[in-house]
Amino acid sequence: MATIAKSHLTRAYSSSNPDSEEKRLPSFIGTSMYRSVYQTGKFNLVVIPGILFSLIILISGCREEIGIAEKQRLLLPPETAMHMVEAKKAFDRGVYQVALAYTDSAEIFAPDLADLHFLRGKIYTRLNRIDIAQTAYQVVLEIDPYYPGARFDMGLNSFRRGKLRDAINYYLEEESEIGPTPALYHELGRTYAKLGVPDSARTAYEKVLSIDSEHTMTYMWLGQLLEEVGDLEGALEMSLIGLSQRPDDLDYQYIVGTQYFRLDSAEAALPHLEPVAETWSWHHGAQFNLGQVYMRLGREEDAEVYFARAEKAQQLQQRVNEAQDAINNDPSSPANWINLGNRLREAEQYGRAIEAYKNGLTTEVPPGLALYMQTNIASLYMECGDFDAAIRRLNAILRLDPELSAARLNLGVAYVQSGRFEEARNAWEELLERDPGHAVTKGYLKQLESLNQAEYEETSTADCLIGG
Amino acid sequence: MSIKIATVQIAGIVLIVSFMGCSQPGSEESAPEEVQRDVQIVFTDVTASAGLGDFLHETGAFGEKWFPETMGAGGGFLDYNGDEILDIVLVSGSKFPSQGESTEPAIRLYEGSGEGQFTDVTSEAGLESFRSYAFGVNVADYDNDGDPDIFVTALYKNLLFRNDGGIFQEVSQQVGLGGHSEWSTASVFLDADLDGFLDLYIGNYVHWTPEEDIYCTRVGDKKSYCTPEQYEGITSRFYRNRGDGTFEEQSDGFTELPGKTLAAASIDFNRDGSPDLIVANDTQRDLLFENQQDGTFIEKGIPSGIAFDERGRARAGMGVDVGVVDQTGEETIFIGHFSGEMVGVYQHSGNGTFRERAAVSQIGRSSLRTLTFGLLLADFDLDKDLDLLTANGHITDDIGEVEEGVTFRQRTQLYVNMGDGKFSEAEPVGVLSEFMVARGAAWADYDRDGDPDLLITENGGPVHLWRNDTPSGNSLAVNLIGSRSNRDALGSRIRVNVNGVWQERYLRTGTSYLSQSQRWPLFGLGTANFVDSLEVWWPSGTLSRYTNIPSGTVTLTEE
Repeated sequence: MATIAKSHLTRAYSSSNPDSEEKRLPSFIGTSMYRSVYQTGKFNLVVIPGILFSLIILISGCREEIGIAEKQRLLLPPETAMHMVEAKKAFDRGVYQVALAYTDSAEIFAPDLADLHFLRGKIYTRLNRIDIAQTAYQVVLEIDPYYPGARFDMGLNSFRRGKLRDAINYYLEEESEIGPTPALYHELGRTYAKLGVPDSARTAYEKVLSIDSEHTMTYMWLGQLLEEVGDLEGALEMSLIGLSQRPDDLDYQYIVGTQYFRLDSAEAALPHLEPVAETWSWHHGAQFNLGQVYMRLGREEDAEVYFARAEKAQQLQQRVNEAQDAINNDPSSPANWINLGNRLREAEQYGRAIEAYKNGLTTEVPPGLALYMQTNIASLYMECGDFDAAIRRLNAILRLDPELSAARLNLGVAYVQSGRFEEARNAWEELLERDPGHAVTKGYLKQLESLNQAEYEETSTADCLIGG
Repeated sequence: MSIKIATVQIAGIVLIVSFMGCSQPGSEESAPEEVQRDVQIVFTDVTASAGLGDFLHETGAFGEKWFPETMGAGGGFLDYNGDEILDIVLVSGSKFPSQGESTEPAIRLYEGSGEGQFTDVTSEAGLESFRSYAFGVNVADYDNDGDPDIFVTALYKNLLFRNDGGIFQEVSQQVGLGGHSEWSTASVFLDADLDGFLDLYIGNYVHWTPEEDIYCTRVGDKKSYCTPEQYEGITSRFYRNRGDGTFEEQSDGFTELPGKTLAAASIDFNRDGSPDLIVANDTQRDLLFENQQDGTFIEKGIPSGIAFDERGRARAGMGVDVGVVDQTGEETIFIGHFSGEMVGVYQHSGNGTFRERAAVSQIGRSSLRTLTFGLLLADFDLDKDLDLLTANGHITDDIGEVEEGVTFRQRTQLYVNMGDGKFSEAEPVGVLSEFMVARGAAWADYDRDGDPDLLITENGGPVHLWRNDTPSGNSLAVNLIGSRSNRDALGSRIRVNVNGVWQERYLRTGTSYLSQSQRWPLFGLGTANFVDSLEVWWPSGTLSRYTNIPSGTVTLTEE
């Protein structure tokens, strides 16, 4: 059945359709759509305390004292609360345009709601619109100077833009106004490290570990810092602690593997690097380092395989970097996001590719491009083994353009992969009704007759993590 | 300073030994015990008093921010008239053709007086009339006639100035080097096939024309200089010296590899006597060409471990130099990189592979905030090990707006070798505290006081001559003259032993960024007055051994 999926996916990748994102999500486009959301009356306006409670927890965490933001939540009109809950849900799903639409709707009733602007800051950060995000966070602080996390997020954004001193100032303000957290010290450490102040970085990391001795990521970053200053033994010691806490983490395996290699322990490096290189073909560092390990072990033929992979992966990564640079220059360009998505897809970084296409959909996309991106997202969900998400998206596409054969073919594949054979049959039969000569579909239907459901319990090993 | 000439017979070999003023009078023997000296390296800016104060490199910039404007140009040292006094050559830069003809010659030549002053002899040497948007300079006696010739890389046609007794003729076309009009940068003279004649490697950068200039921006809508990712790379070329004063292009094996080259140097990492090549590329993987002992090369950058950084990423390679920096006897390659990337430090492991040691050598972290172009190794404090100098400067004048801690004008960094291949960055005092937009860097003992001085070029700016005024130790300069080997003896390996400490140099051109250092090596002896033993492996395969060589300058002719 994997054969079906692969061949079918190839067809779907090249599909396009003039239908627009606006058609699919008519209520959620532009700044005026919030009225539509509200006026449809589709939301239950009854306050659900549990949801509100979740909202508070999700957005800003808990504090002992009641601050301005907390008071706002207690007095929040129920319809605003519902909009905020939906906005947060959409944000979590990565549907940022919808999330923004809900925040716009909530703003009608509560324009000074700190949570609203805080969430906007997060959304715009994901969309790489850092200027807008920073403005949103600034509004949060004007409403509630003690809003937890606002300065922290502003620090993160400053870090992203290379404004390292600004980032440190935000973190230190957060520490003094709100209080220390492991995450705060962790980011402080990263920023000092990047700024070239290793002693301060180390101090910050050690503060994290004094608060939370199981803060895995800090062990890894401290290890990286020690590696950079030439203390390879110390670096490995820290990294091994981190890896012991998350032994299945391939990033950590990679770091430990490279550190063993740099300590001239090729034998010890091998079992750490092999799974990374095999699982993540795009990971040029793993390919290159594994090749070097094999060279040291005298296995030159094996080394050549991984060196070839490393070179290919490096070239792909270079194209990704160029696409990312273009976005940093102009995040409002849908073409830039599409290019990034395509490059990431070439590099088999599917999770990040999905994110790029989604971000592209929040820009002013010509109709044909929107459908192209939607189709690609659906295909990538299938690559990632998230067939439920793929099915949802393919059905949405087909509502916009029922004649899109590739999408319907993929829909059938997604149903099969989900074990929903009857629905797969229906999808393909409908495709044949619309296109009786569709030979591939005929073949698939024939294969479907002899399928055993157990064959489809495969787990994708593709890289589907955002930022992975 | 007077020079005493003595002729001595050692082991059946005639030596011409020039003693200079570095020996301490009356101390004829090496000190029995030596203490590691801990002296602060001191440079004094003598640019103006040396007569170089009027030089200004021309980028041709006129507001369009064209890519070539960022690259700068090199300079270097040579003894063009054979008076045993070092002279200086500087690449002038130019206007772009659309902006009219530049008034500056492609290169300027300054004759050294021997007393620390330089006089512009560009016109007298026949170099005044040549115009070129030039970048790099490389000096070697390609025709084995006893005087140094000058090869100049350029945005369009490269130039070869043949030295005919102190008067230069531009002969690129007639010797077979004028066939291509493309952006060349680095060049290396080396005797690849060991026939006694120097061949020529030319590194090329990217395909760029004014019509195809790309719009790049870092801040808002303001145009910035592009980085090379946006441009298509051009592959390198290789020219075999026929031995009759002409060259034949033999670029097979080079043309299918990544271009965007900015620096290159010859190296004999496997010690088989045939010169190999290390090539630093800008945003493309670096290359290591292993000589198959017949003058042909196989590229082994990836399996050797020098192609990428330790994370498998191609970096923006600029200057390069190679040297033995510790007592392992293995060569280490140093490559300057963009800001945010450490200086690359690759030490040969002895089996054709290299180990990345930037962090362990204590160079990596402090090089992260600088964009290194010029990069060279020399024993500035004469304590018997090679120190590292990096000449830095960014390409983007508004870089501070987008990358905190990184500035357009940057300090030159000096990394002092602690004797074990680990380095300590010298305090940024004196001239090392000056910020500049440095590009080329070259060393030479121009004032003949036995220590390496520095020449640093700036992009669109002045040149800097820094005299080394470090409290003096002793040194030995070893000048080789080949007979069966090429006359410059490029490709020779020299080892000296001083009180049990071995030092090694390999005679090469290329290195640093677009620049030419003194051809003959200079060994720091610490407080010792003698080199206990000296060995020379000539390119011809001859091994010469000498003992008890006093400090100063020794000129060795091939057996």
